[in-house]
Order: sequence, then structure tokens, then C-alpha cells
Amino acid sequence: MRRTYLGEFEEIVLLSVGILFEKAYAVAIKEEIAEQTDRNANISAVHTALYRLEEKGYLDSKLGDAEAKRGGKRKRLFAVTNLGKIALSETMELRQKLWSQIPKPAFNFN
Amino acid sequence: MPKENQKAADPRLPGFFLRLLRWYCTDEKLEEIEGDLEELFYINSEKFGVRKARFNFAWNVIRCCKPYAWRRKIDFFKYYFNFIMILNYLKIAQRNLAKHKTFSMINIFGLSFSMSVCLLIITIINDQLSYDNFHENSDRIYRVVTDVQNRDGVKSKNFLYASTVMPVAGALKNDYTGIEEAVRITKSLVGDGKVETKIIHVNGIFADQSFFNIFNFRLKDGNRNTALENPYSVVLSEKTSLKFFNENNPIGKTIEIEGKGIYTITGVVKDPPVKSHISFDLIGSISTLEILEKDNLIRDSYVVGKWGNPYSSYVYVKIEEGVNPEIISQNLIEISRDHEEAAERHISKFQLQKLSSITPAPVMNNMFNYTLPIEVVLFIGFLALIVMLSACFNYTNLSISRALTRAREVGIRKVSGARRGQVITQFLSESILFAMVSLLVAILIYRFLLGAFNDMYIAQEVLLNFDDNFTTYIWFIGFSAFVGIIAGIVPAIFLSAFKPISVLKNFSDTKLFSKVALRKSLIVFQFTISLFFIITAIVIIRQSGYLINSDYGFTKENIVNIRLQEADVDQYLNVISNRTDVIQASASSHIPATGQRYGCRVRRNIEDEKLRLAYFYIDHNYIDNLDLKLIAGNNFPENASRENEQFIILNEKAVEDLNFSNANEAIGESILLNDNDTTLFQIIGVVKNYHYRIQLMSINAMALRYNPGACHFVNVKIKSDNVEATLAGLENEWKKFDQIHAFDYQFFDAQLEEAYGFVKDIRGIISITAILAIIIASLGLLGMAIYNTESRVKEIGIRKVMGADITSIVVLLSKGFLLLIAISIVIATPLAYFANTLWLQEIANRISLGPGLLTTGIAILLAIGILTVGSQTIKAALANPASSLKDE
Repeated sequence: MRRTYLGEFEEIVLLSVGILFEKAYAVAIKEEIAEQTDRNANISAVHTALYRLEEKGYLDSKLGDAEAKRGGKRKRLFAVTNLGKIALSETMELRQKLWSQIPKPAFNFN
Repeated sequence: MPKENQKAADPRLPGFFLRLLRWYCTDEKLEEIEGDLEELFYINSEKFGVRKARFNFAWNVIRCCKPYAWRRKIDFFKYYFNFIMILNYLKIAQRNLAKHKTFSMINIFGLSFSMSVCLLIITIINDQLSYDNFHENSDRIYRVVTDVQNRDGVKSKNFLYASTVMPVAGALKNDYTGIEEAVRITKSLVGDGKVETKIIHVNGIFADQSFFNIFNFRLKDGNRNTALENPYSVVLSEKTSLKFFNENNPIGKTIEIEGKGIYTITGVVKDPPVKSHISFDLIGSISTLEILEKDNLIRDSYVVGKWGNPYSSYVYVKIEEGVNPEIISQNLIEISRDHEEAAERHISKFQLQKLSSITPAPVMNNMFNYTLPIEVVLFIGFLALIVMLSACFNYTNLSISRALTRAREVGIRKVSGARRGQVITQFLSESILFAMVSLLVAILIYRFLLGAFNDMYIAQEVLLNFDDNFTTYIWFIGFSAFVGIIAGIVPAIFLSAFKPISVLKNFSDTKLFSKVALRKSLIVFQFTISLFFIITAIVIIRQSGYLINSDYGFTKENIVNIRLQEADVDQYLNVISNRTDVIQASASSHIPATGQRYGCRVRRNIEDEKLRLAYFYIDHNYIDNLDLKLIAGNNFPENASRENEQFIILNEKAVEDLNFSNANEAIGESILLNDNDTTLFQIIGVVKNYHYRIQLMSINAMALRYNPGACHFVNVKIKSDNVEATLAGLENEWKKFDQIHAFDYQFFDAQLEEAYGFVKDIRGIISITAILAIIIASLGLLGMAIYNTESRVKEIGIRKVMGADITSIVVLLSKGFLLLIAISIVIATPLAYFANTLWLQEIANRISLGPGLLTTGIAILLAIGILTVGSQTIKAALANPASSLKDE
């Protein structure tokens, strides 16, 4: 395989990181997903996805500033890498390509 | 994440789960994960209330326990053993060492002195443990030992006998199952060995063929399975073979052992790779003994089939694999029962002793070879440990009191992110470094100690060499690391507890960091120990001096004792008595007060109870020669019969024990001696009590019997001038009588001193311990005093300016320390008094432990203490206030 496949939840997380440009960290991502997709993911699922995406090279991370609302602890901010962007767009294109090939009668439900 | 921040978590968070998270979570992600969870908590508590938020938090902690969050094994390792940081610690430690040279020297010397003694103990223990570990299946090899119980209920000895009866080997092997091999050994192959013209005295054993199946002695030449099969065969040790045959192969040749026949040499035994408790010049086949017995060539006690004599042979067995030694012990109990009637005066109970328990071992009677009893080793070890502890306390004390100098460093390290454990690691590596440096110095001292130890009497048989052995070094390094940890752990914990805020804000509040009580008690401990040992040393020195120099009751000066060996006593006496440089000569069977004599039982009438009686054989001149005093009766008549002894001389105590009302009443009366129940011995004289045993023991009943033929020694009183020439002359005379044996003589007074060898050893050991203890205590005190005065330099300066005189300053500074010394004196003196009185009671001839002796000890301690403290306080009091107050 030339590249690893992007899991469904991973894709959502990756997209959310993109949306929350420069403000993307675990808790914010969890809230964003809940808001946008109505899914209540556990924070650990978000963690898992984030770290795995980082391992695959789709995300970069760095520790940000400490904040009082986190009890003085710093948060880890994520950003999409070029590789991540390519993965996302390739996935999108694949979906589009397949979608466009479905004949009209297939979805003719009355 | 710095530890301080961790503790600042919101108290509303569920404590248990928070701790759980911090436990399983790796440090790299802990901050972000904990932060996430805390943020969620706040969000949830706004939305759903605190209770729900807590519940959710707990749930999240559990959910987050997934592989991405876990600590890795390598984390722990890196946490504590971070190699790079340790290099830094060592560098800082080295700088500190150099910066405070005085304190470093104090620490190093204290540690190395005490370490060297401990190193010696380690070598001894290692040496003892290595005995006999070259035997195959040594866990299945046991020795049969005997508990000899007197029938008349009188307790005979306190220890088991390492020897046993010979036939128990056959009984165990043949009448019972479970024994693979058994071997009987007796140490009776002793005498002059003659090969062609070479005559050398040999000291060997008889053993069964099975000897080589049990013990792993290898034969250089010869066949293990047949070497000791036939009677009159013998195998030589490598050394003996070299002595007689040089490099040639002796197999097939013969050697004659005086009085025991001619033997064919069937093998040469290689020297074992490590020491063994069984040593021999040669091994003869035990089948020879039966033949010798028939020909009446051996003493009664070595008879092969005799159940009544557990004193002369040794039996070792190899138990079959898988057999429980308990079964064999049971068999032995049965065997003891079966042969209970064998001996007239005692019952022998047999037991098993493991081969590994033979060295090091507790004291037993009749041990194969003289070995260092384990009690001695433990005793010295205990002393060494105390001294070592004392030295470690020095390090602890000095480090804690100088904690302020390191406080800032600790503060900075913590702020830079060090955890407490890392700070502890730092200080531990510092103390270990100290210990290692001390180890180097200690090894030098230890080499010297080794020489001194080998000179000691008790070490004569157990010669130690410093094997440049890898394992020995490992032990030493391990021990040194251990010492480093013990010394450094308390300061490490103490120093690492500093809060960065307090130390970096420049509080010069030394009192805060003092741990005064601990330091003071450590000093008191050191001085108490020192005083205890000083007093004990003084007691021992006085007591041993008293023993050695007090009057024995006979003359010992200018008397030379010559071992007769083969020479004829009458002829030799005749010749030397006629010499001009000889005042008088006499003969005796043993030398008094060196521990050897004959013993028997005595009573006045057949129906009386038998009493113990020690006796010596002497000749006509003995009493006069040694200036013994006859208080009643006369000496033996000049030509009394030797074969039919009629007369006997008793000492005062014997007369008393036999219920005579005074010495004169005993003259002319008769007594019966044990070895010949029908012959009456007439008491012809009574001699005043004298110390025929070493002075430690009390004087019991003793007799003198007349039989010059049974005397082994000649006592020659010589003129005190030109001793050299006299000795040479005596030797010449000797050579005329006996060309084979060397002239064996000793000066009586030197002999007596030698008999006290072990007392001298103890004296030496305790004295050295005392000296060590006081040196270490003083070093500690010196360090504390230096530090104390250094930190009060300004205070002293101001006092002087205000008008205080030197005396008052000295008193002020010394007060504290002198109080501590006083406390030590109060504690140690009664302790030392009781302890020493305990063992002094056991000695018949003792000095009195009075206030004078105690005062001497106290005075020594005080003198050293005052000197130590005074050196610093006086120096401080004399300092110029101008210079001390100048820099601000």
C-alpha cells in the first residue's frame, strides 16, 4: 500500500483540526465534533485519534501556553500537515469520484 | 511537569482517580491529558453540577487508560538512572570535595579506617566459605559427629565431638539403606617416613578406599578406584612426594613409616584447588589397621571395631540421591541405642553434620584441623560493624550541618525541573563517590592489616592471602557502595526536602535546617562507643598483664625445656647435669601451665566416689629444680621403682578434696588410682598449690608421680650469662644422642607467654577497635567544631568588640560539645562496668574493676574531646575581630 487508509473517525478529527485553525486541542476538538456532528466522543477516543494521526504524519503538535482554566497546565495544539492535507483531499476526491458514478436510477426512491 | 505544580490541583477533583492517572500516565503526556480532564471537569460542573463532573472525571480517567498514555518501562530506568545526569552529579561532587578539603579529608579518613577492618572481615568470611567446595555432590556429603554424654550425669563437655566411633560407618552402610558411600578416617599415620636414606617426619591419615569416591581429591598418578584397596598401600600428597622423590614418579616404590610397617606407594594426590579441612601428608589404606592391630602395633584406641571410643576417628558419608537425611539421622539414633552399653563411662549419640557446616563452624571437640571458630569471626565482624556505623554517622553529621551550603543548589535544581528523587540520587552518588575514594585508601590500609592479622596467634592455622581475586574486588566494591548509601541516605533525604521558595529567598535562618537533635544524638553515640571500648581495652590490658606476670608458684626464669623425643632420659640428664653452665636438670611428662597433663580418677577407699585428678610424671630433681614447696612429707626416694609405682605426691587441693584435715595427716595414707584399682599409692609428700594449668583456670587436685621413663621433657636450669654458648653446648650433647631429630627446645617463660597467645590477640583486637572508635569520634567532633566556629565568626567578632575576654568565648563555644561528651560518659560508664564485670567473673584470677580504672578511661576520653574542641574554639577566640567583621 502506498499509504495507510484514513479511518472514518480519524477523518472527522482531522477535519476538525483544520476547522479549529490554531486553536485545535483535544477538548476543543471534542466540543467541535459534538456540535457539528452530534456525536459525543469520549476524550480518550479523541486522544487516540490525534496521536495516531500524528504518528502517521498527518498532524504536527506543540505544547501551548499554560492556562488557569486547565489548572495551570499547558495544552497540546495540533495542526494539519501537508501530508494530512493531501490525505484529506485524496479521500474527498475518491468519494466524489465514486459518488458521481452512481446512476440516477439507483437512488430513485419514491 | 515540576512536582510542585502537580500538587496544586483542584481539591474538588476526585483524589483517588487523580492519583491513579498520575500513576499510570507517562510523564510526557501527563500534563496535557490531566489538563484536558481538568478542563472538562470545569465545563461539566458548569453544565451539570459538580457531582456529575466528578463522576465524569473518574470515568474519563478510566477511559484514558489506553496504550498511548501508559508509562514505558524505560521511563523508570531513565528517571532514576539517567546516565548523563549522573555524570553531572559526579562532576559537582568532585568540585565540592576539592572546595572543602578539610571536611573531605575528615570524611575520607574516617570511612577508610573503618572500611579497612570490614574488608578484612570480608576476606576472612570469603576464605572460610570457600573451604571444601570442590567436592562433587557436596550437598549429599555429611559427617557423623558425636554427642558424648557421661553416664554419671556429670556434664562432660559443652560441645559436640567432630570425631566418632569407627564401626558406625560399616553399620550405617550395611545394616541400613540410603548410604551410597561411607569412609572412615583416623589421623594415626604419624611418624618418621623413611625412603632409602631420607627421613622426614610425616603426619598422615588412614582411610578407606571410598575416600576418593566421596571427596574430590584428584590423583595425579595412580588409580582412584584401587589405590587404597590393599593393606600397606599409601598415596602421597604432592608436597610429600616432592620432599621424598623430587620430581620422580614414586608409584611402586616403598616407604617405611616408623612403627607402622612398610607401604607401597600407589598414587600421588594433587593439591586441591581450594582449601579443605582435611589435610594430610599421606593416606594409608585402612585395611592395614586390622593387620597392625593383630600384630599389636597400634594403640588401643585405634582398634577398628571398637564402639566405645568416639575420640579417634572420623566418619563421612555420601547419602544416596533423593534420600532424606532425616532418615539417616533416625538410623543413627537406632545405632546409638543398639550400642549404648559399649562404653563404660559414657553414652555416644550420633548425629549428622553437613559438609558445608564444617567450615566455618562453631567450636567442636576433636576438630580435624584447627579452624577459626565462627564465633570469632562474628565477634570481630560485630566490632567492625559498630566502628563502620560510627564512621557513617560522621559523614551524615557533617553533611547535615553543612546543608546550608548546598541549599541554594538544591533550590535551583528543583526550579529547573528536578524531581525529589533525582535530588536524592544526586546526593547518594556523592556519598557513594566518597565511599569509593575511601575504598582506595582503605585497600592500602587493609594490605597492612592482613600482615598484622596473619601474625596473630589465632590465625596461625588459617593463613590468609590476598587473592587478587575478581570476586573479592566485587565484594569490596559492593560493600563500599553499601557504605555510601548508608552514610548518605539521611542527608540526601534531608537536603532534597528543601522548598525552592525558602532557600532562594535568602533566609539565613540556619536553625530551620538543623535537625539538631539527630546530630547531637549521633555524636553522643560515637563517644559512648569510644568510651566503652577504651574502658574495655584498659581492663583487658590490665587483666592480661596481671595474668602473664603474676606468680605461678614455680620458677620459670632461665629454664629451657627440651623435648626428649627418642633420647634416653637418664643418660641425657646425666650428661647435661654435669655441665658447668647447667645449674640443675630434671624431667617431666608435660610442661605445667601450657595446657597439657595426664588425668585420672582417685579415691581413698574402694567404696568412695572417684574424684578427678590431674597428674604429671616427674623425676627426682623436678621439685627442687622448679622451686616447688613441699609443705609436708618428702620428695620421692632417689631410686624408687618405676615399674611398680608405690609413691605419689599430692598438692594441697587434692589433700583437701580427699577430706584430709591437713597436709600432715595425709602423709603415709594410701589412695587408689583409676588405672590400677588394686595398687595402693602411698602419699609421700604434699606440695604447695601452684598453677599447673594456665592462670585463667582455678587450681584443682593434682598429683606428681615418679617415672622418669614416662617423661617427655627435660627441664634445664641454666646460668644466666652466655646463654648462647650454653644452648649451643646443649645442642651438641643432643646430637650425640639423637642424630635424626632436630634439637627441640623452648624457654619456659617464652612458652608460658605463648600459651596466652589468644589473650594477646583479644587484647590487640579490642585495643585497635578502641583506637579506631576514638579516632572516628574525634574526627566527627572536629568537623562539627570547625563548622560551628566558622559559622559564628561574626558573632565572636562582635562579642570581642563588646569586651568579652577569651576565656568566656572559649567557654561559650565549647559548652555545647562538652555537655554532649558528659552525657556519653554518663551512659557509657555503667554499661562498660557491667559488661566487663560479666566476663571478668569467669576468670579465677582477676583484677578488680574499680573506680580508678574507670576514671582513667574517662580521663582519656575527656582529654581527647577537650583537645579536639579546644583547638577550634581557642583559634576562633583568638581571631582578630577586625578581620572577621570587615567583609560584609
